[in-house]
Amino acid sequence: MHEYSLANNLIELLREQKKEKKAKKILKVELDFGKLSGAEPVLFEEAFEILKKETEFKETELKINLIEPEIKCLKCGKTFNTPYFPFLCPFCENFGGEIIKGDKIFIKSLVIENF
Amino acid sequence: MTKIIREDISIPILKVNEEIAQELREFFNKRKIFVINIISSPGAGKTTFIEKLLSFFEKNKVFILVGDIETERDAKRIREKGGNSYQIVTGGTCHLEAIMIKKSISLIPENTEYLFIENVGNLVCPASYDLGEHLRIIMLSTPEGDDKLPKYPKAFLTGDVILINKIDLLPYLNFDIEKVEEEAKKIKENIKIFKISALKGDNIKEVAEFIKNKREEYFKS
Repeated sequence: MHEYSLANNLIELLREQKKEKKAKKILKVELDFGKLSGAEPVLFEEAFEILKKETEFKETELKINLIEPEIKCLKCGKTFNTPYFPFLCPFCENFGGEIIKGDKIFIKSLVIENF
Repeated sequence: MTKIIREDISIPILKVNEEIAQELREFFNKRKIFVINIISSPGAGKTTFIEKLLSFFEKNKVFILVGDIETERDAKRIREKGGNSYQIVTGGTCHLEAIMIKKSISLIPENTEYLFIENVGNLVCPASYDLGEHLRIIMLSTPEGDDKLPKYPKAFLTGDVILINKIDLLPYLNFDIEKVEEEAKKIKENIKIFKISALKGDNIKEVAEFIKNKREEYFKS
């Protein structure tokens, strides 16, 4: 249950971006939300909706893109997608692998209103 | 005239934590402090493990930061065993963040060689937060059941070592230790596993040796 902490982090980053870009408003924020981020997108959305009410981002719309994990096999080096644990390489049937995508949450884009 | 524009960026939501963790790692490297982050469910035995582990180290070279939502009980317990420890009370936060460690580093004595961080008892959230550590230990205890690995893969994926604690209870439980070991290897082939009993002291010395070797290896270059 650290979705509130994460939503707070997002609000702080929005503040930073707003200042940096000298924006009047941030109308929309789009996130790439890795399915292996360890956070729950529905709870995150709920946390953001609650927390934003107390900030200058009351009207900021949140869009979440769920990102499928991308795994690199440590044996054959090929990459594959899998929603399942443990990671089983479909090419060489080796277990394990390194996550190269889908274990983090990124701000992907902002729609801002300038003066 | 107002203008509406879309800007593509790529900023990790944990950017601030990542930056502070990096700053901490540089600080620890400069001071040659080897940092170990211990993550587990509540009641898995982290504090008892640290208490037992202490007897294999020179106490004045070890500092322990303990995270809990409330109370200073664990830091007090460790101090009663002669350890030098400080409690971080998170006041509701279910994990430690790099900023909380940063606020406590001024307390770390000059000659410290090892910093153990006992994270808040939780197998989910702490896994996402880099604290600037060199080694991440994930502990699971036998009464929790043998299905923790597939249920909490993120924690085990980010770990370097798995401690299976409370092995003294194995005769009374339906815990398939071989299955756990097999699953651990499937999640991370090279993960190091120790089967321990923190209460009885079984195999704690081996873990202590492992940590000491890791420090030596890390600071050799």
